Amino acid sequence: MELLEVRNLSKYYKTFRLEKISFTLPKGYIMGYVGQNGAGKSTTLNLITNICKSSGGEIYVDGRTCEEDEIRYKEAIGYIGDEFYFPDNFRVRDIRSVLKDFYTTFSTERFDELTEHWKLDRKLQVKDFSRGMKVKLMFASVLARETKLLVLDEATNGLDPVVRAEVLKTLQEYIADGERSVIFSTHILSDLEQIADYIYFIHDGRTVLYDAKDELMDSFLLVKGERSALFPELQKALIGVIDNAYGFEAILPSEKADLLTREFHFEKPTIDQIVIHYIKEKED
Amino acid sequence: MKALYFAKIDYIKSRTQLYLILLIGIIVTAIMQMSDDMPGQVGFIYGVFIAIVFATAPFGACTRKDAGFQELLPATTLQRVLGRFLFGFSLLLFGTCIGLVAAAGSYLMTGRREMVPLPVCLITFAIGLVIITAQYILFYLVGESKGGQFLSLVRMVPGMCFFFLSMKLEGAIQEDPAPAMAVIERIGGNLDSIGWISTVLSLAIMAAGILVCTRAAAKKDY
Amino acid sequence: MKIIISNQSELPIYAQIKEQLKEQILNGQIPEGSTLPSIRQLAKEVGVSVITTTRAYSDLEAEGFIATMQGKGSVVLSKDNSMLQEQYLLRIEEGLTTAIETARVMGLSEEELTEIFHNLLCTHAHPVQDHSI
Repeated sequence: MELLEVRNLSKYYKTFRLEKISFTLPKGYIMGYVGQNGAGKSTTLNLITNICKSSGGEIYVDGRTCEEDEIRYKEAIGYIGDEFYFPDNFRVRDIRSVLKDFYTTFSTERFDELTEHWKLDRKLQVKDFSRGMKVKLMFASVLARETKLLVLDEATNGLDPVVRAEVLKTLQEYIADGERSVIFSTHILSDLEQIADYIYFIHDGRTVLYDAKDELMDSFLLVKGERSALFPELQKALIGVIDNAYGFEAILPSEKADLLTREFHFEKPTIDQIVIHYIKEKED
Repeated sequence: MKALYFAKIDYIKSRTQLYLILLIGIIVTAIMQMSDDMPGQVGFIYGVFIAIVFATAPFGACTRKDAGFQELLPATTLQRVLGRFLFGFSLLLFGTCIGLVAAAGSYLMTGRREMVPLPVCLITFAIGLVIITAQYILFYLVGESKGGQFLSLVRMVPGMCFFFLSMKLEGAIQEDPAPAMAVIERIGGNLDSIGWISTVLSLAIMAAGILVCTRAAAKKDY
Repeated sequence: MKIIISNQSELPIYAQIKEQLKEQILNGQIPEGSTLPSIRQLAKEVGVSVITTTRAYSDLEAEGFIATMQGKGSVVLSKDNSMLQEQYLLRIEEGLTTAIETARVMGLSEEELTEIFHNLLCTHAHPVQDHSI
């Protein structure tokens, strides 16, 4: 059963076009949405949360579009942004009362439990919170109610490693019952490397790679060697060759591994390396 | 119901400004008590002026992100816009009340001035409502969150115009009551009905404004 | 049960999980008949993706170590089952092959090698403790 389905999603701005993004995310899995700054990650996520309106295509969350039932669509989504979205002069208790007004499933007990656990001062205005506290507060506001899909836009940016690890754990707990899913964008790819089930890689508003993470990592090799040892057939097969003074580095589709001779060193790449070489390839 | 909740968000957001209104209200009342030659209407007009100015406060405090937050909440665009208008409307009522209290206060204290006549109240209220609607339409057309940049302009101009025009009018009437009297003569006995008609008309304009704003807001990105 | 994921390892993560579970099943640390944690539970605890863990489990299932039943989780199968027997034999063969190869490198004769083998059998003569009780 698909929890999130995106079909031919497009958004046209004057200077940027997001073109025909399509993917599905089944219940109980995590998708990492990868790309450079300005590649269209936030745009896509904002279209999913309906903060922005699409220029074309459809989005289904838990089987329904926003047009069909705006209220239930929005209730199913929990959003955590790279920027803090509660008004500056709100206090924790204001947020609590507003969320209670709007969400039928909002549990004040759970919210209090989470805010206490994270030691969020209830009397302080949120503009005085640190980045880590703000992220925790957003998490508390989302986890205190019943959602189906978590949408995280660079939520781990600017967090210290301890909090970041806590966030990753929280995400895994969120999907543990197999009914809920997470889509998150980040450029700290080591976060993704561990917990993401699917990777969607976007560049300049277009899809570059989209697959299960394990498949993706299996389908490439990181190759290093001397430039002079390269022969045409291999050079053609290599993706995103980056030179340095003493050699080159590139990735190679695994099915072309036969081409590699003894002069070359190869190893399994990280997502980071796949992304870097793909972007290099696109730019050349 | 959700519209009410949105109005509540606006109230929490503009909390500080609201305290300011109360303060100003008290000051105005105090001034009114001290000066004898101020007509009772001035306090009333001032109340409406304050309401007009502060009705835009939620737009001023609005960043792209927290406009987005309101868009995230499970509610329709109409409810969201309705909430904003409810905020403006209630503020206007509040401003009117301050004016009335001030006028009533000075009436009771000095006993020299008559109470503000009801039709005048209604007309002032109607004008205030139309101005607030116009401001809101402007903000929604430009985009809720982009209001900040020209906020001070939108915020001050209509309120100022309203304030100074009414003052001028007061002055003009006091200097040479003849032309005004002629108009008043004409309106004369109909003053009551004009008051009511303008109120109904302003409410209709607000309703239309709500629809326009909803249409504008539904298409906006945050 | 213990699982340690290394990012330095040349093995992909699913293979690391698989090999470590296999090892512990074979040496009896995870007794037969016991239930493994659910895929989602394990993924959460170890901090790896669900798909990765699923792959490790389905490989173990294909090799006959575990059986996954709807609603009951994954159960470690008895060592009597033929697939597992084969795995055991494979391990034995692997161990002996290494011994033989090493002997060849050294230039050890077949008799000498068999003698070492017999000696070792004698020193390990006491019955092997059964971990699976």
